Amino acid sequence: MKDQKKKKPFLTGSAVIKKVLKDSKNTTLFGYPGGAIMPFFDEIFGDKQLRLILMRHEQSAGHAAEGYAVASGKLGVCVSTSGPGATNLITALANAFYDSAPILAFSGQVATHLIGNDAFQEADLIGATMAVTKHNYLVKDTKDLGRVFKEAMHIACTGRPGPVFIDLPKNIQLEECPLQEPIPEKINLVGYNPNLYSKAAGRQIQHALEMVMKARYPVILAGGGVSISNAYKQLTELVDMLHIPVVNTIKAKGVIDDYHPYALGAIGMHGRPRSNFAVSEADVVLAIGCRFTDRITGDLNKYPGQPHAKIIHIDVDAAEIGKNVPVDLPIVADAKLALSEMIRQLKVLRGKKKNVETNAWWYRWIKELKENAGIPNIVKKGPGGGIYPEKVMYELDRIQRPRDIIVTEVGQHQMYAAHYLKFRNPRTFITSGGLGTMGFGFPAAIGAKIAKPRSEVWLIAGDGSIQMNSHELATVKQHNIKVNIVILNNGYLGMVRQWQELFHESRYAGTDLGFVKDGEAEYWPDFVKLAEAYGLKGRRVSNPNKVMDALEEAKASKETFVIEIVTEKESNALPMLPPGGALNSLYSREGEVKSIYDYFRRLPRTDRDLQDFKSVKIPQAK
Amino acid sequence: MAKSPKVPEFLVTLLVEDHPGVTMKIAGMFARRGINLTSFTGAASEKKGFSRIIMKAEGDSKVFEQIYKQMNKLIEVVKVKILQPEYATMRELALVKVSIRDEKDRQTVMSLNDIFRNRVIDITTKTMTLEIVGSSDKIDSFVGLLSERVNVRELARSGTIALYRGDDSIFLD
Repeated sequence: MKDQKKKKPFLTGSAVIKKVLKDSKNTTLFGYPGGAIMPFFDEIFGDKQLRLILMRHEQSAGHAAEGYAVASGKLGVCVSTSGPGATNLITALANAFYDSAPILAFSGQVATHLIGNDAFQEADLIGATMAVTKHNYLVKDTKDLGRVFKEAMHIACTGRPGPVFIDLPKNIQLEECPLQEPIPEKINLVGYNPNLYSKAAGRQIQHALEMVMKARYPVILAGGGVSISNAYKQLTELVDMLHIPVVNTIKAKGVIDDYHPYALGAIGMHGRPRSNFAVSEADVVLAIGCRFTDRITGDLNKYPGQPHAKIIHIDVDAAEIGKNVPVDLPIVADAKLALSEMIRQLKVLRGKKKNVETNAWWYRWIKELKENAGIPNIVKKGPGGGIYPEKVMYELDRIQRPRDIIVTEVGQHQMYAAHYLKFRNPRTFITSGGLGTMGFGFPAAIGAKIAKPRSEVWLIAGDGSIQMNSHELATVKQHNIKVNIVILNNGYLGMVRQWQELFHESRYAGTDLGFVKDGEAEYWPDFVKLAEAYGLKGRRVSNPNKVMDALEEAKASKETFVIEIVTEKESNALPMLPPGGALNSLYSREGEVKSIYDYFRRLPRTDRDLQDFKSVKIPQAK
Repeated sequence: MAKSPKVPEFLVTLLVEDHPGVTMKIAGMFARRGINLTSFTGAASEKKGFSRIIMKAEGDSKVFEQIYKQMNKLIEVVKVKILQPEYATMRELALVKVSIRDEKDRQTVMSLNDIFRNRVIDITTKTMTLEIVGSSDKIDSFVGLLSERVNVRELARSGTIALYRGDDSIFLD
């Protein structure tokens, strides 16, 4: 009797997966069914705890999982069928890989005895996902299922997060797992031991503090890693203690309140000139969790700008340190742990009454740099009869609440948003940074809304990007998900067109989307009608004074609302760094290559120059 | 005769979990970053379920630092070390099949063989198969000398394998 009571019935592979997901509280799935994943879909059918969001494309499922992961800070889960379903996931996996988002993706696969036979809907996904995932698995035995899923979740979420892909043959989902405990309590990964913090890092941090405190013009460069490791409180505390200006990469928007007196804003090709100026003038750059990609460094030979500038690089991934720029002081550590340790050591120094505020004079420039940070309110229409994107950003800035989440697609509108919009909270700006995936925004906005149902989610899109995944209008209708969609429709693939204008003598090859304005306007598609086709409402705005009105209507709406803004056709996202140019050069709004020193005063480099500034008092940061 | 390498080479030794696809992941990492592998050897190690892979690649210190770090990131890779040639014992095995036209050819091959202390492992009236063990340079120089005198039909090289000199070693506790 006793033995019988002890014995539980064996679970099928699908049931094991369901149990693992429930045990780990990952109960939201974004997916799309198909032949090889049917057993799993059957298993979760009607389940009260697991919530399946049926997307309209597997790529969207992947992006939605990423939006969910970024907004919530938790694991995003997506599922697809074998072959084409899984290959459709690849773009989303690559995007998550570049932006270090924790994603668990699993897809069906043909039965194990068919693998390698070129069976119907078979594709080698282990080979195909190798370069775009943190790790991948092919499960060939039901006994491995529990362990593989547990390992995959652990790998996806720890160290430098990233997507993990699992290939699940159909028979593995159907067969029983002949184990009483199909899910192991502990996992043991010999080859995986992310180094979050070490004693060596502690010593390096001490050196880093010394360097920063001796520096005349130190700058903190915050990257996406600060957001991923939830180190924003520590970052703000450190900035308040050290009084150092902070610039951020596009992935780090919101890690420090943009209204903080030391926050200068986004850096890089389309960043704020003052941020680029601060880095090119800096003698010590304290970089935290960033990759130094070409978009934020400009010309690598001239980076960061000053000939003797030192770079301190904190990153949890040792492979990122020294990959693109030579680093003077490497610190392999998690951003949160490293910053906490920095603060701790600073407090000790303060206790010993060592002066840690040596940079008082630096403040005068920061204040200067912070001025004129507003968004131009251009009430007039452009020469082409469209609304200026700046006007849309101006109104968005007014309607945006601190907890609102702003998601963008990729292109000019993304750069306008990154350049102008201000964020007070982390994880409120979601965008495709590394891979630059058009079509990312809409599904990611869906994921974000599901993660944060009480936040207003705004999607800023271009007419090009939105069409890459506009079918998700069906998803938001079906699942009653509310996303306020703002389409800046200029009838062009705006960013490419801008480059063609600036660098290819205005030869608009393949960028005209066939939008005819004024008079008998032709719209392909008519976005308002498109929304209506999905049972949603939309509104077209061609008067700059009505932008706010439309935004308010969208906000008040109970379901997804599409605003199509007739945007000035040939407006450019300027200023920008000229491609291949150094951080201290820029393409001005007038379209000329200029030096950053045409806009900002050079900083004094001798002690005598500094005398005048020593009397400046440090205002206390809020 | 031994050619002096123009591009610096380095040896990477790995201890990896032994399951399908691991080799592909490792080789893929080199391919993706445009690094040329000049030698790749992998087989069982002293521990069950783990293989030892030894690779030789071309590149400067920046390249091998990057490779070292990227290898460390692969989950299946348990240990990675860059071996400096001066701290390593290295061997390579080669099998060479040469055509023998007449007695003079046979004499030439035999005398060269004696100098290099190689073994003859197969012989027919038309061919001889030789086994050479030693450093890659030794094999280069032997094959070079041989091909100047007789027709080398086929050459198979194992690629370099290496261990640390002295008490140091790379193993799993």
